Amino acid sequence: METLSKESPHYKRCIELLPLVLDKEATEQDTSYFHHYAKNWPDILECYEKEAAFRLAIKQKLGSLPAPEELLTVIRNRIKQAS
Amino acid sequence: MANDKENKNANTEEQNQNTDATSQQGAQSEQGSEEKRPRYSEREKVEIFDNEFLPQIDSMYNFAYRLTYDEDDAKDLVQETYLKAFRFIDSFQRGTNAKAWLFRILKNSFINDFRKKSKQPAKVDYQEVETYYNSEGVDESITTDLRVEAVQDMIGDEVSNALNSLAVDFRTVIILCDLEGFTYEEMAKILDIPIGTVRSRLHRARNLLKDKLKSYADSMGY
Repeated sequence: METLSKESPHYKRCIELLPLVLDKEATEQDTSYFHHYAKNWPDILECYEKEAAFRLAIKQKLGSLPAPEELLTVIRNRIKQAS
Repeated sequence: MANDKENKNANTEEQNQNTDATSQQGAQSEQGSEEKRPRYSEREKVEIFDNEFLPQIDSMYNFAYRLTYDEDDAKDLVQETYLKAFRFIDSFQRGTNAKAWLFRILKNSFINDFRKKSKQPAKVDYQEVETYYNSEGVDESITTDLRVEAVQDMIGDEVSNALNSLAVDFRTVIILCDLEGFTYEEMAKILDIPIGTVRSRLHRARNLLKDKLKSYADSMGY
């Protein structure tokens, strides 16, 4: 695909939308706009892919720790005592 | 150097917040003190607690653990949060975002109560330590094993260590956004900061985390 000029207003808009799209904060319309125009600039696409991979890696690596089983019982008992 | 500066800025910002905060702020101010508060019957309170609050326990524990990095402290913090939530349950509006409401209480409890306690020096019972090391049953390999485990944790948990090395304000936004999936608006309410600050803090936090991970990768020869 031919790379368009970075002077284009679409380039600037895509840059603005990039973090919002990554964090799922952009509207559906803006997200579609981003994906439609961003493919014209490899640097934006590369940044999008790297950032998306980084967020995914954080989530996968850190994961989620389940609460210890006894914690629920302890809380229920303390609430009973308090009420 | 730049990272240190950013961490210091975050700490200052955090101290300013501490001055104004109270331990019950999260629970009490969520609905506004002037609004007419709903009054729940005892049965309704139990229903809300069981159906809306308790299902969040894993997320709450996860958040508490990422803040304290200690299992016992995390359990205490979660218990304290649930007790406060029950005490102030009348200021929670049914059907609203219980998870965000609870996270806000937990965050305030951590900042106002918990960190004060954790700043106190740890008390060690030297008599107990001496008795233990003088006893015949001491297995010398225990200390070696602990070292090995520690090193393995460092290697296997570099992202966790990098996250832990960030100032708590930066760590918190990454946990809330990337692990718990809160929106900017929800994060702004939980943290009592404007959405613009959420965005900028998140941006800085991620950059700091990338720097930490890059330093780690460099030190490991990658």
